[in-house]
Amino acid sequence: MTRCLRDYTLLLLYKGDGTDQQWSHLSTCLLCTARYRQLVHDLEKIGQILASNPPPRIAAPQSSLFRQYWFPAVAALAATLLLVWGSVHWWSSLHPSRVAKTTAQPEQVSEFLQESVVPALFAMTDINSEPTTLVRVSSSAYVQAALEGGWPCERQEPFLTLGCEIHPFPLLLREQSY
Amino acid sequence: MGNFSKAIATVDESTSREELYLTHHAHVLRLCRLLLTDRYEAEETAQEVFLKAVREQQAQTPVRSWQSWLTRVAVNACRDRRRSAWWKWWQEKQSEFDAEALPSHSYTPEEQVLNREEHDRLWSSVRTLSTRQREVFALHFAGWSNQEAADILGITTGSIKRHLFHAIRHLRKALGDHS
Repeated sequence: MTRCLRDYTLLLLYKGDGTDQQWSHLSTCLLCTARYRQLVHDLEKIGQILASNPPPRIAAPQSSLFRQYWFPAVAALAATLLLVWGSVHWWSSLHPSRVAKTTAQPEQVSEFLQESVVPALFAMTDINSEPTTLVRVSSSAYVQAALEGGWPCERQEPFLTLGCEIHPFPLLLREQSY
Repeated sequence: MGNFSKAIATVDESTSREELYLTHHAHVLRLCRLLLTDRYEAEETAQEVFLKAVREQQAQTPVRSWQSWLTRVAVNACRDRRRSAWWKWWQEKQSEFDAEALPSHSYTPEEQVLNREEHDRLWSSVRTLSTRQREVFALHFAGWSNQEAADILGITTGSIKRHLFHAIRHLRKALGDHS
C-alpha cells in the first residue's frame, strides 16, 4: 500500500478497525503517523473540553431578527394589500360593462315574473289532487260551439256527465240561451 | 475513553439502588450533557432516567445490563426532551450567565481567554451537530464500540462509522483545521 490513508480510515484505526495493510502503512508512513497522532491529540482535547459544563446559550437569532425587521415586514404587507385593492378598484372602474353583466336588467326581471312566477302562483290545478288530463280544444270547436249556442268543454272530468257543466260563464250562457 | 464503560460493565446486575446510582450516574449525566448541551437540563433528565430505573427495579423486570439499559433510556429521554415545545421555548429564552463554566483560576488571563474561546467554540459546534451525529458521538465519547452504539440506536454499524466521522470532522474544525 503506497497511498496515504484517508481521514475516515484513520478514525477506523483509532476505533480498532482496519486491515493489516492499513496498520502496516500507518507504522511506515511518517505523514500518516503524524496525522494519526494529531487525530488522537484532537480527540483527547475534545474529550477534555466536553467533560466540562457547557456554556449558557445565547438568545436565538430568529427572535432578534423578528424584532429588528417586524416594521419593514408589516409595511411591505400593507403596501401589497393597498396595491391589490387599488388595482382591483381601477380595473372595475375601467370595465364597468363586465361588472354590470352580472346583474339582471329590470325588463328581464319583469319578463321572468310574467312568464314563470305568475302562472306558477295562479295555477288552476291543485298539486295534491289527482292529475287531470287537459285536452286542448281547437279553434274549430269554439266556432262550432258558438254556432250551436254552447260552450266547448276545456276540461273533461271523469265523474261528470256528458253535459258540460263547467264553463267560465254559465250564467251568461244561460241568459243567451233564453 | 473505553476504560470507563468497561469498568461499569463489571458491576453485578443485582445491585442496590445506591450502587446503581453511584456507579452509573456520572456516565448518564455526561451522556445527557452532551446530548442536550445544557447542564441543568442534563441533570433533570438524568434524574428522570434513574427514577425509571428504580421503577424497573421495583417491578423486578429482568435487565440484562443496567449500563446499556440506562444508556438507551437516557438517549430516548434526551430525544423526547429536545422534541418538546418547552425545550424549544426555553432554548430561545435562556440567556443567564453560568459562572461555573468559567475556566480554572490556575491559568493566566490570556490562557483563560483562549481556553474560554476554545471551550465555547467547541460546545457551539456540538450544538450544530445533527441529532443523530450527536448521539453517535456521545456514545463514542462514553466509550461504546461501534457495534454497541449501533445496537443502542438501532442503526447499522456503517451508519455509526459515517456519522461519527462527520461529527469528529466537524468538531476538529472548531478546534482548528488540521485536515
